[in-house]
Amino acid sequence: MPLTVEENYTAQHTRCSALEGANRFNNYVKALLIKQHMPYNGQVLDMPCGKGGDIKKFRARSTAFYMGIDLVPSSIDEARKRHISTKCMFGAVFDVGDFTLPLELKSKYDLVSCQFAMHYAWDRPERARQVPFLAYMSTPYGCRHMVYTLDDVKKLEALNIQIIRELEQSHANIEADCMSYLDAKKKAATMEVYFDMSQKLEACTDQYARFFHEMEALKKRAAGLI
Amino acid sequence: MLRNACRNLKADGYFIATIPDYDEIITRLLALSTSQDAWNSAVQQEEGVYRFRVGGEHHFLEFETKLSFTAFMSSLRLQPFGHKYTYFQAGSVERVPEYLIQPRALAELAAEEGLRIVESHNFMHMLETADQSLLQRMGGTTTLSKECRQIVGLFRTLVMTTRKRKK
Repeated sequence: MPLTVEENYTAQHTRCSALEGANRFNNYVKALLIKQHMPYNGQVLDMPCGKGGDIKKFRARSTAFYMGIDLVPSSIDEARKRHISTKCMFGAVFDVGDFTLPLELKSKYDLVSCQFAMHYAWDRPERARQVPFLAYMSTPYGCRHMVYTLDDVKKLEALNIQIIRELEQSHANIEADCMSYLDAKKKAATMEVYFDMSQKLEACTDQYARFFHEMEALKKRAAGLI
Repeated sequence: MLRNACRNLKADGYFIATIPDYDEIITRLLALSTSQDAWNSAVQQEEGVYRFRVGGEHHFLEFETKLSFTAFMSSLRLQPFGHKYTYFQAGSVERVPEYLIQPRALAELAAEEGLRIVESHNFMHMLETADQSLLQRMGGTTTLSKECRQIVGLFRTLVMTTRKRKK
């Protein structure tokens, strides 16, 4: 029986000695990539970090800070233990999270590492790129922020009305509203589009995928208008 | 995922990844049209389901589809996303669904997110040009069994950056 990604990385596997050479070589390739592209004293985002198998490789680069994110809570616990047991001098934060959904991180990193995992997210462009409609589906009420660099208030207001009209016309079950905040100093405006989804969420994946695609298209069109 | 990478990188940062090699997998699938064995097979099952499997004694990739071999191979070229297969590698991956990463779609999506591919090599190239000292420290060797070479050759490196191209 096929396993989910989470089940596979929670399960205990019996090592296969016949493939040890391949496993070691694959591990070497990761070490080489880190050696070549991680600056000394740099900061790294490891997504997904698994059980922390690459922590020692980052230690060899005198890493200043390590952020590890993984879907599997037990892997995060293991990674935390490994960070302590390997006596790394660098600070590290480990958190459970899905790297195909938006990550709210406060730092910028010198290196982002994604080892043997990108292929799990290549089922559709939304996950590969990360249009976060799945995150919104978890709540019947959502909010999407769209930031424009513009200084023309009238155009933005006209656009607000246009977006609301288009959303409500194309999605009968979505009630939308917009609010805009202007920052005159930065000549920028943030638009918040609120929407209320009244239908059962699980049955509407495709519709919401289209909805967010349209939001992206509207944003591009707005950029062209201004 | 690509957006997470790009938005959290410094202006001159790098995004490194290791991914299945699309071209290599396509080549191995195409080889099914000329030769098959116990580990590499194209089989039509009940209810018009086809199974295309490539691999060895301890590993395999298996596609399940309702398309015939020729139509399936065409669909791989035409559709950039959603080509699911199950991957098995004894001792580490237990029949987990994965998806083919089409290089063109990857490059286009990455470019839209502000990432540029600067380097990408099949692991076999890494084997031929190995940093012997690092490889030895990692307990590895360039002398691999046939099946280990098959597994190593399934993957490729990917290095992307937000850094602007030098003019």
